[in-house]
Amino acid sequence: MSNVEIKSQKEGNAVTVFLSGAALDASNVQRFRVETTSLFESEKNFVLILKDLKFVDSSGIGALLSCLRKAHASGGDVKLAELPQNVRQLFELVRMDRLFEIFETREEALRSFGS
Amino acid sequence: MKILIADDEHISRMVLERTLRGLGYEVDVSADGKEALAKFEVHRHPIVIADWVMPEMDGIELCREIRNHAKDSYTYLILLTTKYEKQERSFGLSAGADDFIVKPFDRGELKARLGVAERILNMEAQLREANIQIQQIRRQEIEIGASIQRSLLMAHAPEGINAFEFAAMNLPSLQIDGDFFDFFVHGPDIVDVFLGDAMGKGVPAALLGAGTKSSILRSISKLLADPNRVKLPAPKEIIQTAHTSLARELMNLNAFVTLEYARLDRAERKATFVDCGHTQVLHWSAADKITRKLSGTNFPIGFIPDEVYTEFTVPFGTGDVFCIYSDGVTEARSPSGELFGTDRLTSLVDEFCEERASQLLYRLREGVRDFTESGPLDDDFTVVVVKVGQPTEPWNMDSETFPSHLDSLAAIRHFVGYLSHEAGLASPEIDMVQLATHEAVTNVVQHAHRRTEDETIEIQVERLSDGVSIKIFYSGPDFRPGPVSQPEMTAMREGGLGLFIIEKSVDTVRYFATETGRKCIQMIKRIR
Repeated sequence: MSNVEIKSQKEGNAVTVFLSGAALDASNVQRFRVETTSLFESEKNFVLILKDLKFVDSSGIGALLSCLRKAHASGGDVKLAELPQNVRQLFELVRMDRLFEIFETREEALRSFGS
Repeated sequence: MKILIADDEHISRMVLERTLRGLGYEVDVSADGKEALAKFEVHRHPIVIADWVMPEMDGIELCREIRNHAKDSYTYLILLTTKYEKQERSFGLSAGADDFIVKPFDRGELKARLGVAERILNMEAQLREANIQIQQIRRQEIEIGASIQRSLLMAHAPEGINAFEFAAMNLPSLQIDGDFFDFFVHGPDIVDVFLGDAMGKGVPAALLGAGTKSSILRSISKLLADPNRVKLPAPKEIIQTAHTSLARELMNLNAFVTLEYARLDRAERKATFVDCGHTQVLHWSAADKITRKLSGTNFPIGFIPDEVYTEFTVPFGTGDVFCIYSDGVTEARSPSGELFGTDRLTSLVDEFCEERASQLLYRLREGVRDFTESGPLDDDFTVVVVKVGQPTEPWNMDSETFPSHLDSLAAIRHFVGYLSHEAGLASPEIDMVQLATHEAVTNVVQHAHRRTEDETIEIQVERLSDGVSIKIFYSGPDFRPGPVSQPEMTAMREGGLGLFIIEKSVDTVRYFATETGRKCIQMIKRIR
């Protein structure tokens, strides 16, 4: 079982979160939820960089949705950037692009927060 | 023996000439340094006796000239002098004189000193002869090493096999290295390749490499000859057998060999490796569009006496590339001393993976040559490139059984990804098939097998004329979803997402039970 590596840094009024790993899926999503809870409760605005995430499944989407819920609860938002082709395809397939704002680059995503 | 005299004093010259003839020497005479040098250049006298003080060119200058000119043989130089102060003599010695005779000379002393001169000239001649022989032996050694390399260490890449395209190259370094490789063709779809590097340089390394290679080939033959054998000996079995006959000998010699042994099975689409401390194999996957670095865990052969060899397996498909090489490639240095490294090699494989094996090999060589700016190789440059072609018998169906566990998901995605690629699907379609299979298997593991342990899931992939069919077989409770509708996707709810993804990713989904009672989820994806 491979884990998702999570690195975050504060950039202006948002936190950029770099996710990398072979997959964010049913095999490791529990761990991901545990590891990200405090981060998503402590800040409001997030930009998730997914370019080094090779695969995401429905459980992974569920986990990202719960991140979004936490951010919404504190009046913030989660935006996504730099999605690999297959991940982008999945997001469009399940219409996640209606819930998340998706950007080509991290800079664009940060700008949308006014960072 | 011929002696050259240089003396401007007529009487003195005549007396010396007569005395030397009386002692049995042939004598040439000259009246000054210049004339002496001209005669010396023609006859190369082994002994020259020169007066210190002469017009035109004095004895000191003559000594210097002779030392500068005659480097291929030794000339014994004696200066005639009336001066014998220490200071003057050291001046003569530094100009190249070997000895001094004080005028007027004593016949007995002259004879004794010429005896010394002859002894030294003889010894010098013997040394020179010995040196020539040593150089000859060195040259022969390099030739032997090079011919061992050409004939025993290297091999011709197999040709005319549709399943694989091979290209191999060995550029020996100046000192001869112990690199070796060979191929063993088991059949039209199964070929073994091994490439090794014996430690050290020169003939010993070449012999070590040749010995190791022949031991491996003998091990293959021996294992194949066993009449009770029903299938091919496994790579780890071959290396273990070779180890048994080699390791002890290698350890006695304080030597070791790094080796990569690969079996490429086109029908099974699997490459099996035994890695004995060798450089990483590069594998370009056409389905995944990336180059992976593969390495195992064994020590080089000859490190420890009771090594147990292990294998690892990777799937492959049409268009994949394997690059097996010696450390002479990655340890080639730029003029500033930087190493070429595995990452640069990987980038080259990424860039030129679409080309033919021989062309790719040429590109790798060019890349390293550019990096070293055509500098000499410290180590042998040895590379085998394998490009995967079409199997002899096109596959129609393949299946594999996995433990029913979420940890199997990555391997299952890989398995269906490769076969979808083989079936002719392109990148976004392959992603969809992998995703749908992943979601379906996750459902089986999390729902049908929720309360049971040690269950397995069989994945069967079938090539269709216009796509691919994936069947997921499992035992346990049935789960047939009702009509799948667009899940209510709000930020608050995400139920039913997996089933919806399956529906959307493939063209057909079918849930049924087989005659033996197993359950099956079948998904079909058609090529657009």
